Amino acid sequence: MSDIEEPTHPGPPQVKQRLAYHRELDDLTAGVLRLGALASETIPRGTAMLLDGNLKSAQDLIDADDEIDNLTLALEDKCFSLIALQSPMAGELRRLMTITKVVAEIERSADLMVNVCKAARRMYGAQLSPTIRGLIASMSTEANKLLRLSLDAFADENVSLADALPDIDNELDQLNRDMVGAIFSAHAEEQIDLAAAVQLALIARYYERIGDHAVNVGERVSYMVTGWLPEHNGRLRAEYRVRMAAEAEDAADNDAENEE
Amino acid sequence: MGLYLGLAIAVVAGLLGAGLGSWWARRPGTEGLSQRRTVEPSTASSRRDVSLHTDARVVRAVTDLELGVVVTDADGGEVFRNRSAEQYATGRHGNALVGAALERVIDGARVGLSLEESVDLYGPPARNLQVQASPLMVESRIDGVVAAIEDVTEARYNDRVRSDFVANVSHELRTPVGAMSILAETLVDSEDVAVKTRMAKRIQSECLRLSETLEDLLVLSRLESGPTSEPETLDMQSAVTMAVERTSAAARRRGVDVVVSKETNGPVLVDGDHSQLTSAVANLLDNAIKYSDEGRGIKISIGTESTALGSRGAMATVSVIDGGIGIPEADRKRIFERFYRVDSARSRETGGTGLGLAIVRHAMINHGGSVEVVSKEGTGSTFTLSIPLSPTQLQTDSSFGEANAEDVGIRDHRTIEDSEA
Repeated sequence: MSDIEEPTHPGPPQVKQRLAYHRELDDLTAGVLRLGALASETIPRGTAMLLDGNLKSAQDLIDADDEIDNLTLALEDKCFSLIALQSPMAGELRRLMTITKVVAEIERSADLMVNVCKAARRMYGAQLSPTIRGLIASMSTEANKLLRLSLDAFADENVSLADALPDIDNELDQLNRDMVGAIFSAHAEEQIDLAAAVQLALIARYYERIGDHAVNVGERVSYMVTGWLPEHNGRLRAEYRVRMAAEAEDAADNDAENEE
Repeated sequence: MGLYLGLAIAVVAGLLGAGLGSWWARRPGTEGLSQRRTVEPSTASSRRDVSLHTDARVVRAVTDLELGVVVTDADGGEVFRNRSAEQYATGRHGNALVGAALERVIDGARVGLSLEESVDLYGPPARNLQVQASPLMVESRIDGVVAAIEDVTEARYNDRVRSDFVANVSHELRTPVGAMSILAETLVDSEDVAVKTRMAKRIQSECLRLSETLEDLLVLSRLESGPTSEPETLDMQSAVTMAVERTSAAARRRGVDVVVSKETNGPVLVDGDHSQLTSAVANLLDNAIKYSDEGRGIKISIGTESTALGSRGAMATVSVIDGGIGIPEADRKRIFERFYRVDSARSRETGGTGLGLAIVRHAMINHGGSVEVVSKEGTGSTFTLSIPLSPTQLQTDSSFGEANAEDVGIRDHRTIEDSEA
């Protein structure tokens, strides 16, 4: 008798197939978290590069983005093949559709940090005032926090956290406005030239956009769990307006008939 | 570091290979790792094997090990994961990347490669991890994999501090000596009286710089050897007043106002060395003046703070608050190191020996206290000294009871940061 026995699962072969499918779903979720971790690491890394003016590490970060793109494509492909081969329904289908959207948002966030690196190279040598350096550090911290919270919301299927992200994002938007003010005054005091001022404004915008992508991830997570998107509210409002307009028109017609 | 990791792996692999491996293999329905056949011929080794795998202490020891340990079978299926390694299993954020590295080295070990990967995480918190895996061999056949994850953050940091210190100290001492030697050479060759005077003056200033550095080094080494005099009971107010007087000339030159405020009525008594405490406050004040914009005010606030220990652990606090350029986050942890410079180009202009904050830190250590910094670039820095209150104060000051402790305790460092932001 052999010591080693094949582990067997009870039931017909379809059950086995189904188990493999569920493991693939779990792997997919782990893959999204890995992609998110890669993207969120680029934020403090890119910021350190920007503040220290380390061009070597800028190039490393730009090269590392290829790995992120690669993983994004692999995760997307996996989603498509599962949708095609396993005909998922309801919640599982929403999960797979959500992942295709979420990975794109995460991938875009990492691209924005590549943009930060390129902007940093273009303004190399510019002396940044402590105020601007402080604001960049704060924006980076906030953007990283938002991305990580959106990943937490995804992993835990936490709708209330996902719905809180727009409010948390307000902080980052405010920092962006502060940054624009600081750039204007630094340029007015001739601390930085116009070219550097433009690059700095773009950099602030990149961080701010990372926050927006995190908010989008949160919306998709809400959809995954509840099947409802903020855009659905908009659609309802549009339908309501159309209905009200039609009713008003009917009422006007009735009034006209009564007068006759 | 690498050696330590290697050694740890060897020990763990030995333990697991002999003990855990067969322990796991005896579980019903587990494939692989069966050593029954291989150990049977030798009674001696089989007895050792039995004693190991029945000894739950071995398993518990490995489970509680600080080093993360993961063991898989030959197909990569996990058979053991200790507590420290659990966080990487369903990891999120940085841990997800450690998990990915772990998978890669395990895949390598399954085909016989001993791989090692460094994972440097920016976090927050920033961490450096070393991930390594080796095949577990049974009669020249790969029977499984043992992988280890070690947190080397602290070790890396200490290495950097040590190497930076050696580089910095030689720089600080060599620069003035080198400058003097070149200046003296020019002095010898020159006939022009004006040039001679200029060279001599610069030699003087380099001399001054060097003697300041040496003086501070001596102060520091005295501090490091511990308290020298018997502690006396003194009011922190008097140390602060003295420090303000000592730095008043520099403050006037920069046009900076220093305002001292007191949060409590009556004296704030501590037991300690008056000159050490004065020089600690003076050093902080000196920095605040140097790194503040002209015309900006500096606030010193003296108060008391209760700690988790209640009134028994109450501290006297002195905060020096400036609205200056602030300290970049990456440097904040390191500014108390000897000769550490945030910006070496600027420190040349502002002067200073690079030892001031090291002196402050050691003065605090000697008094059983601490120094902390809260800072934001472009907004300013707050340095807070905490020194245990004198027992005399705790006996005479009846107001410092449990009820009072609460409202004093609210004033923590976070609120300062928030109000600055």
